[in-house]
Amino acid sequence: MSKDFDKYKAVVIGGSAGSFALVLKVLSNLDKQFSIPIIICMHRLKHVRSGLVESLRMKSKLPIIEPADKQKIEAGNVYLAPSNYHMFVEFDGTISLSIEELNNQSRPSIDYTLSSASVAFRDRCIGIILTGANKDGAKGLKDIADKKGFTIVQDPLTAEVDTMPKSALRLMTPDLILSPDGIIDFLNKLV
Amino acid sequence: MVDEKTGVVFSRYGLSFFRRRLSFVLDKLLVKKKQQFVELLDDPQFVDRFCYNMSVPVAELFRDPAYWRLMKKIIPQRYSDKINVWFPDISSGEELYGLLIILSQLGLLDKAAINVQHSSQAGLDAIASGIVTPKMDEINRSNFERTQMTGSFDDYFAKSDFDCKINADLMRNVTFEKKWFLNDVSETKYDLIFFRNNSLLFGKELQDDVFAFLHTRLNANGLLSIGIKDSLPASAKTLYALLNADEQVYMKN
Repeated sequence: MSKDFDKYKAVVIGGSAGSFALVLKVLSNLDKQFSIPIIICMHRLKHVRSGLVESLRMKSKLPIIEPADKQKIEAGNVYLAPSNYHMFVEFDGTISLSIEELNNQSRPSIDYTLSSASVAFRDRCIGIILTGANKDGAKGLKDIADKKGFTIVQDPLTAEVDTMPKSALRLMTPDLILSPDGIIDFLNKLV
Repeated sequence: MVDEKTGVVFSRYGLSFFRRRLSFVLDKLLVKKKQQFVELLDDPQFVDRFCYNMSVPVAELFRDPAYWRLMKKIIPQRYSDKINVWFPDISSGEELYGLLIILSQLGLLDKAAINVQHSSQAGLDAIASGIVTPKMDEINRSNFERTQMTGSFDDYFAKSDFDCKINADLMRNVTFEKKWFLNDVSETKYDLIFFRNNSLLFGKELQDDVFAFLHTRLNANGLLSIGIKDSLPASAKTLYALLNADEQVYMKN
């Protein structure tokens, strides 16, 4: 699996309703040697700036960063989209932020983060869609698949709210459909 | 060509932002083909609407309430006489309206001279109208409460079935100028410059130039506010002293 580890430049994860507990579980069970940058776009309360990052930091074995605009993406870090900002991945390996219009009634929009990662990393990107209550992220995951990246959808049967994974499955066929434990196993095998 | 026709150096904006926004704006303005766009750039009315939409006219009143709570404390501590304020590249009125309400509550409204610039007349007209979108009513009211303002939201806004409008009297000391800020060659200096979330649109090299330029337009000890997730470029670190890290308020060095 070390060859795969070298191949991928980022793991990009999107989730909404119910995804916080799942992201917390993934981050707390990842091998601490996991060095592929993880970029997470979660729908979150618009006007609550603190709390989420701090909660993730308490359990995560990897550093959690809520990036500023133009911040460089570095190995071994987890980047979480800030509240009320869209988050994009740029060609030069940095993150850019924006306060543009809502997309899918959301800011941050998962589609925006995943689609930009598909353009920046092409086939060297792993995209994962988790539980959630709207369709945001489905198009972004398809964009990753269209660029030959690796795609995973949480098994809707294991999702607290299955709208988001089902929306992705209606739009594309992922490489894997996995339970939360399956997602953790998959990622740890990349180390 | 776009730079030349609009007077705005879009070529130095962030590339992915520019591509994304251009696609969004052309779609909104019903421009289907490149040649059509090229021809429309000779139409001043189209150019004006183009610049307005490119500026991302999206905002909410008292976005980041903690920032506004801080300004409510800082402004009266630092200014009791005349205050010169500049919104060099404002995209919609909410930032201005928030400041006007605070100045009004502090009894400083008539001590303030506020200059607002926008690259388009449509943008200036929208800001001068004082209208905030009714769709944002719930968020605006919630932010008003979170900013811990005295009085009620309705003391400052008149709501009809169609819109919600700030009391026009609050804008009595505001001047409006149609100009892209980097083309402003005047030497007016300001005590407060509001530039929150504006630099997100720019490429790194343009950011360097913009923060150096804004430094030249601040009075001694003048304050620059940038968005809580904006990055002050390394080239500007010696130009400004950090006054508040969480809310990204800087003072001229």
